[in-house]
Amino acid sequence: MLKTSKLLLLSVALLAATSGLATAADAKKKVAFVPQLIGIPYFDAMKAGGTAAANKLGVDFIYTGPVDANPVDQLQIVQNLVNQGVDAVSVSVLDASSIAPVVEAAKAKHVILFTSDSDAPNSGRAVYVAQATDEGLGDMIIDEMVKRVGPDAKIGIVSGEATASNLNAWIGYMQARVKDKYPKLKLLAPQFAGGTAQRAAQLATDIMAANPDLKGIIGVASSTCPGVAQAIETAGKVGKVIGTGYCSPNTARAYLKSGAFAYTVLWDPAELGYLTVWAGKQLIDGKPFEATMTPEGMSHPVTYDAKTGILLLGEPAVFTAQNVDNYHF
Amino acid sequence: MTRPFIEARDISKRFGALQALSGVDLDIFEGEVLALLGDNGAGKSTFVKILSGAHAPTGGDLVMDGRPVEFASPQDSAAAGIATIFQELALSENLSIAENVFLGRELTHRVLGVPFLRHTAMKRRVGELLRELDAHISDPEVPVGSLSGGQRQAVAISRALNLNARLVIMDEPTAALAVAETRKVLQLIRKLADSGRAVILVSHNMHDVFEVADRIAVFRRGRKIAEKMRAETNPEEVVSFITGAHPDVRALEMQS
Amino acid sequence: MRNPLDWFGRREALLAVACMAAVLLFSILSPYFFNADNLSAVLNNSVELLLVGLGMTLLLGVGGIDVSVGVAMGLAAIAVGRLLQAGVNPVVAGLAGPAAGLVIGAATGSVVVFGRIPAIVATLGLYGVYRAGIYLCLGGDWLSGLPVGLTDLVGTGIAGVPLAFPCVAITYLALYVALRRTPFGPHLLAIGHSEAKARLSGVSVNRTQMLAFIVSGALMGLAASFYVATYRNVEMTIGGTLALEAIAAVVLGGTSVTGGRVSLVGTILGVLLLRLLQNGLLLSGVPSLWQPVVTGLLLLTVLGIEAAQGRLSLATLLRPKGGRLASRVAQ
Repeated sequence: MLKTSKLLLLSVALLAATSGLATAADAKKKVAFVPQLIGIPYFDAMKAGGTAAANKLGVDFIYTGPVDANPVDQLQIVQNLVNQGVDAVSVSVLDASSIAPVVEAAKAKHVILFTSDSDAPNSGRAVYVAQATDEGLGDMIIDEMVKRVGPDAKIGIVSGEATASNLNAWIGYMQARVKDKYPKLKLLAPQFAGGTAQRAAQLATDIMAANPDLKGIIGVASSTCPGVAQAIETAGKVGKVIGTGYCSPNTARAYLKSGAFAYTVLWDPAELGYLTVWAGKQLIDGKPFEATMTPEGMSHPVTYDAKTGILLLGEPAVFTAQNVDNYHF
Repeated sequence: MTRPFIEARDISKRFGALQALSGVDLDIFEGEVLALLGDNGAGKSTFVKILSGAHAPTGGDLVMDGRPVEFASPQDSAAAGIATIFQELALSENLSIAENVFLGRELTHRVLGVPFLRHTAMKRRVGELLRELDAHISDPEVPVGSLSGGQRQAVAISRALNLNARLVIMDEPTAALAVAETRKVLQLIRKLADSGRAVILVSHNMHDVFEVADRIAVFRRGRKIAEKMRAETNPEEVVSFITGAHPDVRALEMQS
Repeated sequence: MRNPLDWFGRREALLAVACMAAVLLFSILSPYFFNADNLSAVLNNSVELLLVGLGMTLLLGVGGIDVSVGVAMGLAAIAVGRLLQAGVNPVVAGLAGPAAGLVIGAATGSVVVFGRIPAIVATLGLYGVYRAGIYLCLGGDWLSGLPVGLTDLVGTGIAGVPLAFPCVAITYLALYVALRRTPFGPHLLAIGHSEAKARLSGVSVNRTQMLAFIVSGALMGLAASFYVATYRNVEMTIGGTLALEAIAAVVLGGTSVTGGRVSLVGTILGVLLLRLLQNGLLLSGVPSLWQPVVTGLLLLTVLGIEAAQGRLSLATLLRPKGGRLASRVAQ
């Protein structure tokens, strides 16, 4: 029931947005962003960032997307936006294989189509606004860990599915970072928890039991963070074992405050949303991306790789007990 | 003669285009074993199923104690004192004898609304029943899966007795049994009738029928074509009724 | 196949020996295995699986199955989590778990029993429905860092004994009594053996099956409360593998996959063996990737042995036996 009303509200909002579009067709340029699904804190944060950029840069920002992460619905929404003559549409792609025809259709209508947050590399999209590189994420979590436990320590890893390529890439870069910069750091082989907090807690508990000299545990999949943190609390090892992981402030907040987690690493989706709208404006205006530049309204530079067409937000963000309350995703 | 336990009057049953039974009149007496004979599809199973409440007749009446009765379900028939022991017995091999005998109507006493089993009482009762049947099973706690075919028949009969059945219908009870087991079951059937219950025995086995039955009814093509006291007939005559070779049958079938 | 002792038969003895052998082996392989902290962690990690497994024992016993029980637990966990978030008294929130579970169990049971759909098919369908339900309830996010009220309540327990212990013990006792001392036991086993025969015998098949699903649901809901108390978290993927783990433990414990034979003690030992193996293997340096392989092989071995024994003992079963044989409710 709740869902139906939500859906209704949404369609009304969408209708309002599109009709507004028709009446104000003369003035501002329009940049749209289509998330993977609406109503979740992560994309809400991107929306907030996008709105801030739109106000700052003087464009209209349209935010609409599927309610259930359905790729077909997402494609249809993108198609509709293209037909309505929005100037630029960015998509956090759900199904990379099916977006190419829509890119073609957009070009025919002189609509710029690009990707943010999740890419479709061979689709002909104008640019991919990326949150962070796998390498950056891998390096950051190790560097932050070493800051807290020193370069001579034993660290455990609890990952999600063994088949998840992004998680495995992050682990790969963690291992590479350790090999290059911290040869004395002992990174244990990753254990795979699948998706449940129960299994992550079980594995974290077992890793701590098997390694009494353990100094830290990294929860690689965000779904493993609560389990790892809870295991540290249950074992009474808060402060003795440093917990961390790639998880959002909302997921980690309680554990950052309890001390079970010292920090978490991710990016700031609000900044990503801001950069997305800025990139859309840049493309509409026909201005090129430079290798390094600081967009108007941002506090740090972003980089652009012309070869891959990736506009990178920059270093991942580090969330701690001190700054976690500034974020709500 | 005493009044019958049940009178079937002009019973007929039609399944779509198939006339499975037509115009069957049959009286069933307590203390008597009535054997139903007939070829496959002759209508004896259909007749038995009408008595056991599995089928409703299309025409005719069942009369008990002078009043017509209708059985809408096997439960109705059971409530009227009719127990049917099917060929496949409907026993749970994984349960004990006592559990099988009382399955679905366990003795319980309620504590705070929870029905607790009265194990001892049920065991005692089953022991009595098995002794009455002279079944040579000492322990009612034995799982039925470990019993022989004849012993299982005894359990099924115990179940019928426990229902205070006045009519026990047995469908091919000796079909899968060895010779010694068959003797035992025939003795059980005799014992049931001698204890004042009515027994209907559906069988193909002429030898069994002539050993235990008091009365024999032969079905053919949905009709009861013969009904004889055992002493008045012999296996050859009965076979000729079943196959249709008997002159009376021929005469009857010529008419219709 | 039949148990010479009333509640502790051959399978149970085998499992107990296997558990002890595992403890012995891992104590040799890892210096960190045999100590109070680790062993109590193993027990802690077994609570949800024990409760769900005991419920699944009834379902398999009656000839049913519920592969949706894990995600259904997710829904019950959301109810508990949301109440905690709303600041409701933790006792109330904790009791909401079994209450929600009971309702979901009744819903699952209704689909299976009154829809006349085979349990495996119906619950596979419901798995998708409940999964979507979790998705809709959580809106793509998950409940994290829930208030510690319920956690404290469960941890402190009664007179210092964590609440999980009496809960599992009472559950076991209640199910034991229900199976051995009330008509529910013989009815459940008769239906599991043959639904048609049970119906002919006048057993109320629908009622018994519904009851099994409702009890299983309530236990799953209780597990949800423990899950929320322990992990203070309800993730989108909650309970994904729980049903299969529970089925594995129950079958390992000697309950028949096709119904008609149950062992509550077997289920408890089956759960403990699975958890001991998972813990011990990791402590012995075997990567967690291999854990499902080991438990899978274990299950295949046990079922293989059982199949072989079944063929052998069929002959002995047909021969009349004297003496006292226990019924197949090995509690």
